[in-house]
Amino acid sequence: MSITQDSGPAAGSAWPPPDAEPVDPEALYGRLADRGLRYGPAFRGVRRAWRDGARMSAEVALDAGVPTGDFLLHPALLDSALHAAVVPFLDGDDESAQLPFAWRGVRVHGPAGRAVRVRITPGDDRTIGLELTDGEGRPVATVDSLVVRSVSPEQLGARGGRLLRTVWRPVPPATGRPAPQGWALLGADHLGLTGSPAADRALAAVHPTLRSLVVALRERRVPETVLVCVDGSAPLANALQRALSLLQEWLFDERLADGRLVFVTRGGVAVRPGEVPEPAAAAVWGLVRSAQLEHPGRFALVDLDADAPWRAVEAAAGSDAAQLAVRQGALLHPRLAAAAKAARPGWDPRRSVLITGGTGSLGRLVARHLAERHGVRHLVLLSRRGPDAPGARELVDELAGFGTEAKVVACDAGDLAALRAVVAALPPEHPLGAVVHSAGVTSDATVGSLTPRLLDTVLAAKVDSALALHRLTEDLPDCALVLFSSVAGVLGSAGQGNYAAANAALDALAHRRRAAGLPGVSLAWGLWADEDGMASGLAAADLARMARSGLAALSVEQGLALLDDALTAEDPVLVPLRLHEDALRSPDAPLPELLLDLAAPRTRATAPVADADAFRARLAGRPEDERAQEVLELVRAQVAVVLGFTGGEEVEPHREFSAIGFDSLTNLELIRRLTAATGVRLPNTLAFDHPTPVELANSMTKLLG
Amino acid sequence: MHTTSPTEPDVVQYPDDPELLHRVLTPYRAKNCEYLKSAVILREGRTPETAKLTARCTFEIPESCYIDDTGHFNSVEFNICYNQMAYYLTAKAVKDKLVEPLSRWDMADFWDRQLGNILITDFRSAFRTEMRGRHFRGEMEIIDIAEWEGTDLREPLLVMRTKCRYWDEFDGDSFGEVTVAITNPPAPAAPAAGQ
Repeated sequence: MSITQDSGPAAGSAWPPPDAEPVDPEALYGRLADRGLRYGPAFRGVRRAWRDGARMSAEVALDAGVPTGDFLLHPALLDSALHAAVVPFLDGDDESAQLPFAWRGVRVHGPAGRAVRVRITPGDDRTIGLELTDGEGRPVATVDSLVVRSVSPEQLGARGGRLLRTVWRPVPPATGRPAPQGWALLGADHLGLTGSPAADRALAAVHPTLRSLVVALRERRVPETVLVCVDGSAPLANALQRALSLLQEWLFDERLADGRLVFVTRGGVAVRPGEVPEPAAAAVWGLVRSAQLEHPGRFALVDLDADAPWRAVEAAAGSDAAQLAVRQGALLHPRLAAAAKAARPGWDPRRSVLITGGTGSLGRLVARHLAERHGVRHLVLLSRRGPDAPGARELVDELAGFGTEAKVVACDAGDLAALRAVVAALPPEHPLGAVVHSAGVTSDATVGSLTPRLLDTVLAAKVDSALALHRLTEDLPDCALVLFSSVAGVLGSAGQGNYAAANAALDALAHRRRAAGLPGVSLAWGLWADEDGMASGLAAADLARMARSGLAALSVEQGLALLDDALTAEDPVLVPLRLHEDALRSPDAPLPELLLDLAAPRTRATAPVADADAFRARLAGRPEDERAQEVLELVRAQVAVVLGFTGGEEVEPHREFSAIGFDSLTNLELIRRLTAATGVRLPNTLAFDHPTPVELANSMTKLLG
Repeated sequence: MHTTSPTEPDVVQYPDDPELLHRVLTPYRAKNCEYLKSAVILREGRTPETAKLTARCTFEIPESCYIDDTGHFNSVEFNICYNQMAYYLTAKAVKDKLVEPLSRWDMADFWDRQLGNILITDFRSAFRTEMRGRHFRGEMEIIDIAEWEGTDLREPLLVMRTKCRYWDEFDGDSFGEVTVAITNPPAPAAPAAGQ
């Protein structure tokens, strides 16, 4: 491009532009990052921005650490102006980045200094014009026409995925809550919490059974905090079933609505290097994490070390964190952080690799990847249906095209004897080198409606087979076991408490193996975008909810790149996923606590309370019909958010919730959002009893008084 | 004896069983409120592990057993009719081994528990339009039966989640969701998965 200098056009008009909507620069950079354009702090020059349709205006400035040098217009300042300029091109659904392509009529009129104002006007098709002025409105530069082109994240070389791990950070003292007034212990004291004078003083009651707690409730002795010990040495399915029955009791009884049920574990999570969690206690963590997402504020998790258990519990109860570990008296909470890479051996092409779920969607991708990229020449693909699985023959042919011999075997991965037979049949010159456990099933239900059978179904596919594979390989010290678990176990997953539990148990198993000196890793995958995978059961509302909570889907390329990265990393449990950068930067997105260190700094959630007060103040003193109308608009707006619609006007007031795609999970989220918006705790059954927006709004209007 | 429904090939139909119904309704006889007149059971799914049961019933309330004629079907009658459907559906599931875990019971297990161990734990009823007919229809569906093992916190129990609906020829319509607990279940729980 050529640049000329002249005196420039006449300057000046109103600033900031009247009638334009402010755009949050953090959100703007989040949207760019979603498309693979990540700018470091020194290059994020947009300080304020406004939008009026396709017209953008912005104030951009150089970072304090960047010298202006001899530039009339510093390139970083011009670049920042373009960050704002491309915003109107990001409106489509595609994930392309937008980059400047062809410039015409670029003129610099005077020195820009450290900051400029920029006005961007749309031209024909994909062109824009730019006008840069200084703080007084004097012209700095103009661009007659700039053509903007789409570039995919892959073209940019942006992987988009992240490889994370869980770290435990000290809990800042500021997050304190008053120590609970009424404590009770429910059930057997597996962890030795009682017996000290401090415990006896603090505990208002010990309820050996649920029936005894119900008696206390009837007598209005409602404890604020109820502790329940988890026996990590119990069989996994029993521990999980007991925890589930407790969660359901807690949700069922309205009298417990203001109380908090705290699950206390020992060895539920690996906090410090070398700690080895019990799979049963870890599974309870996964289940309860999901319950926390479905019912915020009702449940807490505390993991203890062997040190002074009651003092640790007391310390933990003074924090409002939902998930805590206490180690040597210090409170720690989990956060996801970037995982470090290390040099570890890759795949040995001469040895066989066994893949469970080998004809499933992830299994196929991995098989193809190992054959094509890593030269693995001997694959055993396990599947329930074996060679009869749909597409099995085509897969074998395709792998043969890479020079890889693949055998599809019908085998239940939970059957150790059958697994041993498969391994015994391997040619001695190609012994087993690695196992990838990608098999799994989902059987989704909210915590309130999960059953022992739904727990067992998912545990059998995921955990029973992982344990069998562990036994299969524990005498093969150089055979790696790569467990495919899910971020659901790490973050919890609303509507998937059973799946979260099973995957948390897999992660615990990976820790155990590593502690025993056996190679292996658990990869707690985020969502994959593959059409045929388990994610394909997700409705648009599910995807919208996941996006709001910070999760985005990995493309196949991103996922496989992360697989390669993960196998070079040190940690026994890694979290490969893609995050929704917009949600990370939105101050009011309901992010899981574990993502907070990766998100933009946010103030504590006082805003909803203020909003709820304001909402109720707006209603006060208005006539009945106006109040009902106001509440109806609120209901429609929140229904729209929950279902991923663009606005409340898309929600028909008289249409039944079930007819527009509501299920038990979306129902819960709606009630939660309406409770937050009004400050009035609404019963979870409200949308069942009042099955249309109008009926729900009428009922809420009455409840709001 | 059962037949395959011609319209729903995977659904097996178990016709009304008057003898069983008569026995199931014995506790109501002296009170003069045997409202359930017939029940056809539909079983969807081929095995007791996966089966879903629905009862399609006819009712008649010639005269309310507890109040003068109100002219409409009220919530007490909703509940009594539900109980009769639930008892019959449970008994039939035991007798013909239709669904897990009731297929592991024998009839003595059922008769021993019918009154003392089958309890409603959650009951919701909604009345959309008034039902005025003496004769009406009802339907009950078992959503799932959860088999909870005993723990330090509570005794073992079965929890049956159900939905029901009633309607009549005058467009009357009401529906509900009811959870039933069965305490002291006879069979031990299946071996635990997971370990």
